[in-house]
Amino acid sequence: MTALTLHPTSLWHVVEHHIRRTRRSWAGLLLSGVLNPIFTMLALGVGIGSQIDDTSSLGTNGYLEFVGPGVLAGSAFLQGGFTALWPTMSQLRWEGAYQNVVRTPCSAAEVLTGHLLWIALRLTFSSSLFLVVLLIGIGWESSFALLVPFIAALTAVSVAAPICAFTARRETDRGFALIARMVVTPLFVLSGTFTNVESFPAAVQAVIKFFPAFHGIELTRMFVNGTSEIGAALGHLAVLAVWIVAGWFAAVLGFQKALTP
Amino acid sequence: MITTTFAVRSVVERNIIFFRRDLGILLAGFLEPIFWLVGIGIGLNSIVNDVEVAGELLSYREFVAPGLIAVAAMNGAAFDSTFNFFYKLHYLKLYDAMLATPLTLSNVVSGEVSWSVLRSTLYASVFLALTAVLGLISSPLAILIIPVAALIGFCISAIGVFSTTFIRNWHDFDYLSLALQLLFLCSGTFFPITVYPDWGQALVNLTPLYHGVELCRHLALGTVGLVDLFHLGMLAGATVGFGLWAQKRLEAKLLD
Repeated sequence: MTALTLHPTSLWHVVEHHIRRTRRSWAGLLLSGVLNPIFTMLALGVGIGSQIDDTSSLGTNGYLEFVGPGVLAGSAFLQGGFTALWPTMSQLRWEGAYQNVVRTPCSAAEVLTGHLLWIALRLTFSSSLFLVVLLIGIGWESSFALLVPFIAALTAVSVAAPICAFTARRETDRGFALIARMVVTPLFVLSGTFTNVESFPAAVQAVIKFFPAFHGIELTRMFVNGTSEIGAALGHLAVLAVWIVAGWFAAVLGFQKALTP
Repeated sequence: MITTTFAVRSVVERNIIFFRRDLGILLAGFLEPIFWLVGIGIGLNSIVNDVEVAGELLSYREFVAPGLIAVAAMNGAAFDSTFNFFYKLHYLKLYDAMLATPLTLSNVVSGEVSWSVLRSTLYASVFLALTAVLGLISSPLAILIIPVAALIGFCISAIGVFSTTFIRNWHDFDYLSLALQLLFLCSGTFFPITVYPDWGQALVNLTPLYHGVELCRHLALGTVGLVDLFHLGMLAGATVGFGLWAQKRLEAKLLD
């Protein structure tokens, strides 16, 4: 492996490539990235919320306050995971845009980093829109809420990076549906998104807390509801950081392998 | 000349051979509703109030479980009749190839729909067995959920294929995914539709999954009544209507 240098211009070109592509598909991103999670939050928050009298065991004033931040960070996780599968494979092999990019001065490591930056940027944007709707619903509790879109972006990258490492090592999309539906989706549903993880057996809790979704969701919930504790928050951030850094390293190696002729 | 049975069976067989290589995808379809049952139905059971259905008070997990059987049936049919159907139609050109054999268009459609119905029935049956083991089913009438699941699969296939004939590219599937997500969330699956205002309840009555959810719930409880004939009629009507319309649109697409 040659020395890793990440040139900002190269990174920007990869991000710009995606911004330009999105000019043709923004409606779809808005539907799947913004409207879909907002409907999920409202249907469950208001619908199930109307059947709940007392949410003190969840630690919030109402169910919407619990489920809103859960769905915000959870769907960022979901989108990060899905984008790292088929859309990444498409750029790497099917459409092959990235094979052309590495014929320019842009390196495989820069392609991967730009790719993850784009995911982060997209999630920052869509989570901001989600956050506005959520805050209209439950009211402003804490100025930490302003950090939430960045937490959502980190949550998305914490799952996208390791899955990109997997995708880059595959020739076909066999097994993708399994990862999406047996790893990413269950983590979205079970990581304290809709209910307290304390209601699960200890072994299940341990598995859930190993993965990053739970930590992104907890951080988001703290920040939205103004219940932040510095120690716990740093702990959650550290877990996200470990997944991002380890995933990034593995994905750089994978992209270098996939993009070297 | 070949018989219709042989023709339809060969289309179903192609799907079976295809999925035999990727059993994981079938397995994932079984498990997905289970995650929702655990994450919401069981996870929130102690917090959500008991729900009244047909005069009986149900714990929240007993309320959610039968609805998720209907969802399992919907999921079983939804992917094959939309995403996979589009891929086969426009990319694989599978149907052009099939029509170059003695198969007719109606054989091909019947075969594909039969496969979807099989998959729906399989998903719903496994999930029904699981909910019964968990003690969430209280009536032997629940066994009738299996044919109802087949009807749900039939109905979703017909609507799915019909919708897919309008789809131009992969981006259009985002609309379809959103529609499926709304059906999943708002069809009385997780909360009773009495939460909605009157116009909202009228709207939900026009959607397919709601009728499936109600039928499964009533059968699981053993509180079947006249209203279930209405639910059956709506599902059957939508199946026939959209099925015929889909066939018309496909004829125009494939036979010219």
